[in-house]
Amino acid sequence: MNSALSPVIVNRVLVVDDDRDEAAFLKEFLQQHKMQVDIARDAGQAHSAFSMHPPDMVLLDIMLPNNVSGFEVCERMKTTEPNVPVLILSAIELDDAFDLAKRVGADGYVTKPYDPDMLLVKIRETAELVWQRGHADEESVKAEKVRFDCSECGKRLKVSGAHRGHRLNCPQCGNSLVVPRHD
Amino acid sequence: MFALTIETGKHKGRRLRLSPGELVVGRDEKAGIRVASSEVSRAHCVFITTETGVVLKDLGSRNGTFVNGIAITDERTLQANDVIVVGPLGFRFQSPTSADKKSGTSTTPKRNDSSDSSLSDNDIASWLSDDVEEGRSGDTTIIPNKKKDDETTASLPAGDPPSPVTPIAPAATPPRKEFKTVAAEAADIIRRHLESQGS
Repeated sequence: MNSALSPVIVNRVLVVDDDRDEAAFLKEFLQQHKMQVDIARDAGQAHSAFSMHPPDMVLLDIMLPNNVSGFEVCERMKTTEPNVPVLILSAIELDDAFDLAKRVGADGYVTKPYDPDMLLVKIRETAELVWQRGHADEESVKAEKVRFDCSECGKRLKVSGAHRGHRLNCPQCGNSLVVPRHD
Repeated sequence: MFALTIETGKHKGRRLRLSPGELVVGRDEKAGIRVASSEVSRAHCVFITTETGVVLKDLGSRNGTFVNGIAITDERTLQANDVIVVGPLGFRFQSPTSADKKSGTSTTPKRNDSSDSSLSDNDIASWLSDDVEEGRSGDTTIIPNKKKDDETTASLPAGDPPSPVTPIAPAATPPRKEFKTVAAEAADIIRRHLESQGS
């Protein structure tokens, strides 16, 4: 699939951010680039908007009000609709945050502050990636092996690609792990 | 320290340390050694480990627990090099004196754990289930060879001198993970982020 010939069009974007200025800026900026933007200010609004008007892309903040973080929002979105790309936008720059984002199925991670043009590129890249993944044939998914390390004891694990997003217990330390949705 | 060596399946040669306490073998999820085989009862038998010895007790299993080929009816104190058979599994019992003495009856209590103390019960359970459940569609794939690289002590021969390692919890309470949910892990990440911002 040549991405230059058939770009994936991102039409509707759901921005999940409790910071009004940030959300307003993103809305304006993305609208300038011909995207339709919905804003959700917390996890509850995010899930409502996500299920009522399924977006082509989610831009998700981590620190949200009411003690529900973006990680949990992402995990739930990916459980219901794995083919909607989720891009995390956060000021958190910890390795554990990148790692957890991957495990809950986020398709990309952009740290704040970001360059808006870079964000635009990242949005298109991520949409392309997720589209291709969603259209990969099932056989190649099954044949693929996912390798990852236990976050607790560091044991190296290898499971079938068909288990992506599933939960398992580390056979060594019993730690509950989620098979990364993508590498 | 008392231990069992696995005698059957692809994990043959591995050692399972017996911590003081009770270690139940069975099909039940609560069993310390879970064996997913129809030949094994839910609660099949129990190893009762004290500082002076190990007693094996049959828990009324349907297919019996065998020591040296003889079914045990109630309970039996294990001797060094006894062979225990539970359904499809075979174990050999090792006591600290089995390497240098012929008798395991007069063992002295030792507080040192043998060097394979880093193995958890979950480990054990998965090895054993693997042995008997060929081609199951479970989530986990075990990489035993990799593991040997990581932990060279995993399959030490019997009778290795105990090294002073911090004792781990008894068999009934395997080490638990730090985070049970994404929410807990997320909260920790956010807290650490805010702390780093504050400082």
